[in-house]
Amino acid sequence: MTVERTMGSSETPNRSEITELLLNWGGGDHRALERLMPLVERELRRIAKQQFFAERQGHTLQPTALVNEVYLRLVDCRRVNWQSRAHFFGAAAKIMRRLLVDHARRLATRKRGGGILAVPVTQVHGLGYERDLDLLALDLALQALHRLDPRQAEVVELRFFAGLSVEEAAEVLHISQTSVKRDWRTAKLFLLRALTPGSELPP
Amino acid sequence: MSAPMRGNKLNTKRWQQVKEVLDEALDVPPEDVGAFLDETCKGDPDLRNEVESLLQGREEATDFIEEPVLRLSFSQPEAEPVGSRFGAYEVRRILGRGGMGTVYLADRADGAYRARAALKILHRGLDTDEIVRRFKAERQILASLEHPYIAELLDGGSTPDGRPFLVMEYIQGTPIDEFCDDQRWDVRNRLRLFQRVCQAVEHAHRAMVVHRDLKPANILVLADGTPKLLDFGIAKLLADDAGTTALTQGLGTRIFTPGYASPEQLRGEPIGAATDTYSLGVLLYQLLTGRRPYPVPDTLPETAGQTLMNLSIAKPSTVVRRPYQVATGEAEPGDEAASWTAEELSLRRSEGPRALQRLLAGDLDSILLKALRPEPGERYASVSDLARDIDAYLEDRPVQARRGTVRYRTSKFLQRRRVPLAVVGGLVALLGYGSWQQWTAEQERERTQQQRTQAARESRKAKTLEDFLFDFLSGSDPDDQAWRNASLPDVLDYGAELLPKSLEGEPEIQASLMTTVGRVYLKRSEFEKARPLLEASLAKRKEIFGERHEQVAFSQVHLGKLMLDSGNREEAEALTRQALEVLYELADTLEPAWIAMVENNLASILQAKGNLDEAEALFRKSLASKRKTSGPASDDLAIGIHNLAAILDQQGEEEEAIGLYRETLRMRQDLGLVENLSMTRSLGNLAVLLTHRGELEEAELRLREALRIRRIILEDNDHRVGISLNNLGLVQLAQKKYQEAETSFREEEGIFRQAGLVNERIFGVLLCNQTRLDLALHRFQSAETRSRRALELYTETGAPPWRLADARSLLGASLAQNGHPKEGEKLLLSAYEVLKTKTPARRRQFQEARERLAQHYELQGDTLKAQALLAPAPGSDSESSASGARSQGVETSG
Repeated sequence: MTVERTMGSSETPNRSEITELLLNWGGGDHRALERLMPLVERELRRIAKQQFFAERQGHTLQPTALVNEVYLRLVDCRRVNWQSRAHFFGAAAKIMRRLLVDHARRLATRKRGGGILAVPVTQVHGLGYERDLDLLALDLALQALHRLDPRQAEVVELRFFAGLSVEEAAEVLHISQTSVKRDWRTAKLFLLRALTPGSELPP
Repeated sequence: MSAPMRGNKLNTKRWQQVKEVLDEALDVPPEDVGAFLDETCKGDPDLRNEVESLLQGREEATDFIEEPVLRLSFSQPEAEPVGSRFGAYEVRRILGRGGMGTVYLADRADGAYRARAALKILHRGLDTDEIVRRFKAERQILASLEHPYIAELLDGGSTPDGRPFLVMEYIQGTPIDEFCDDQRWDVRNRLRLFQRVCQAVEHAHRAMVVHRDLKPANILVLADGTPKLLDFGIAKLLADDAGTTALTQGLGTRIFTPGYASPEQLRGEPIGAATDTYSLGVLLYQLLTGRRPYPVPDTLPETAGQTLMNLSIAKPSTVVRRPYQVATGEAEPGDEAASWTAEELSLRRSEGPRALQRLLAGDLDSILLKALRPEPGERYASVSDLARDIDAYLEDRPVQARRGTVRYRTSKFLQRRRVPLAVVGGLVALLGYGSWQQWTAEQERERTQQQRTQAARESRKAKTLEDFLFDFLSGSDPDDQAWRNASLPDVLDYGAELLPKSLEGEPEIQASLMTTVGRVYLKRSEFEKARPLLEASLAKRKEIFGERHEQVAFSQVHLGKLMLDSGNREEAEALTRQALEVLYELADTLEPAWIAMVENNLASILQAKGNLDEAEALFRKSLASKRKTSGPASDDLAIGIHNLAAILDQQGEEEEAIGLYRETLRMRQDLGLVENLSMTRSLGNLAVLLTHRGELEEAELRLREALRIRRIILEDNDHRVGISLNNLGLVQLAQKKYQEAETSFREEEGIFRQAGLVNERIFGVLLCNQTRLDLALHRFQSAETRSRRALELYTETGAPPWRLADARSLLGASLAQNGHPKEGEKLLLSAYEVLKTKTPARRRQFQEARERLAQHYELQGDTLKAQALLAPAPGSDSESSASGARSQGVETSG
């Protein structure tokens, strides 16, 4: 399989091949995504290792730059339109979510000798509003949401993990912006309640 | 929050229902939600409960997860230039947006060679023609800025839609502050990196290019630690010095970043190299402390400039131990660092907060404050001067920012410490000062590499020493109130406890400090505390240097002094002789003054042992070499003169002794060294000699002076004040001013009683002198009581035979007067016999005893016997000190 060959190689995956996969995916070929993901993930992991999985305390996450870098390496940007890039970033968002959550879990396990505990991602907003976001708890809540409404969970993934705008998310998911907006604001309430102490998660 | 549903009964279908109502509810004003739900959820309380439960988070949800983990920008507010070509460069992707424009990654596309570049397209509204014209004009200069730490300006021009663009070397690096924190670089590493930045800036300054916008974002560091300065000369390119509108109003004619701009920059005044120095100062302040030196100005530039002029910037060392203060602008809201504690912040510098504070205190404080002076003229004259001072700090040389270093340093040091100055001054002077002084002297000369190394070693020692002293003097917890009020003994005890555990890597310094603290204890007569330290120091030095080394010898000398003071004269003599022998061997390489000091010490020991001839010879030898090596006057020389005078005095060579006492007194007057104990000893001893020679007026004057000084420098009930009173009383007795003598003795008695000396030998001396007055005033009963008690005290305290004889003679005279002539005569006679055999030094006591005996014979009517005893002389017993040793005491050598 192509993936095997590419994964086994230490060289950067063939650019045009990835671009092709991306274009196919954008054209509705869902298997293209399956093949694309490992390639992107491998590259992301490699670069991420240098950047933020070195686990230095207090390192600022710069995922935007990270994904940009991967994108630039993997995709021949002259051949893809920006919608295709949105797809790419959507895929990257899934990967990023997994990487971040894995990372948080590993940290928590190591720190507390097992069990899953809050690993805060400090979110600082406009005028100093601040709350620690428990990434693992968020991931669990998102899984619960996915069981109820997979598309809604994807909206969150794109908006939060990839920072896509409403317009961009709509483009990636082939749905209207109104739908994205509705999914987004109701999902936030769902997730927020799930993260509020004392609340229970749906089965 | 209602429990019934809590999402547990949610399924896919039900959630769609909830979602729909929830979405609608979010468009309803909060105050109307109740009514809305009443209406919408009619007959379905579970649905209503579920929606209400979710709506509880309505307010909080506004910001919730709005800030993405990733923020990917697809938006292209201006025509996306990706793929477009500017000059020889093709744009790949966006790198970032800034106030002046947007930066893109670009590849060189003309096939000449592969090269990446950063392409900066300036915002619309800048006067393209003017900038392009300037770019062409300055291109040569900017190109000449070629430097390994400066990102090169490659090209420039205008885009088809009329915006200026610049092409620069593409740097893949991290802003300098982040880089240092990520790497947890310590202060030294940060300083070295900063120096490289300075090199680059200085390079540009020599080409007459001022950066004008130095800040972390413009100083990137590559993974290998190489700094790269971006945008050199860009600000100048865009700025409008001539006052013409090169730029539109929107951007303004001055380009700077408020948080880093100098006051003159903010005020729109002429800009020079000092502007970069200021910005570098802000940068370095942040690199070292993790905090801004002052809040980012948020007012109009002119106002901000004025604010900076009047600003008092906190010393870096004073800010690193307290938590961040966002309010005072140390960090900006939203800075990641704003949430760091002092510990976290120090950790990123691989230090603890206290250690970091100590590193910054002093030199680095001064360097930073000098770089941040509001007046350009008061800052470093150039960036290279700033770099040089950092160099000096790194190599432990004195920094320019702290001219007059030694005194400044010492005084600052003392100011900071609320501990007794004597010990601090002593320690610093003994150990630190020498090294710094050597430093300063050496600095003036052209140094060879070898000298440099030596100097660096010396100063490293001094630094280690200083660090230890800081720990020592700041206590285990400087904030502890008890420590703040600590007394000298507390401080010493803490040091003594600290020392054996400290300075592992510097055994030489450890030994030196043990010696120093031991000597302080010794000087305070705390022999039990002094002893282990001096012994440990001696052992350590033997280990380091072997047996025959001057350091070992000096330790032996101090220990010898301890032995002498604690009464072990044999051991004292052995140690000091051993030391002197080694020092004589090494004489060629030693300061003659050191040997002279040790000779002096040995002489004092011999003097105490009664080995007066050898002592006198050694005192003479010591003084002769002091006269040779020292200037015409010095404290040390004055001490040597006094010591020789004292032993000559003791040997009965009064003439020479008086001359020497007068010389030492004159010398001290000239030196201004008057109000000290040594001075009063010389005064007292001279007065005694003068008294014996009948020069009573001068004697009284000298004693009154001694008394005046002792009353100033000693406690009211110090026995040494009593001794001065004693001798003054004796002079007054000899002058037959009995009333005054009575007052002096009575005051002396009060002091001795207060000091708890009534059972000491010294009290016996007072009683004897009071007996003399009693006899003169014919108070024979009192005389008998006092002399009897004196004799008891002398016997109990093991006083020397001549004192016993003196007391017996006085008691004998009293008894004879009180109607016990036989008993009295027996005592008078035995005292006379004893004193007859004594050294010339006891001639006065002998003469007195002879006179009393003669008087007794006279009273008994035996004139012949009386005459046979020969003519009497005016007599008195003079006491110069409690122990009877009149010498200055043993000097200490360094």
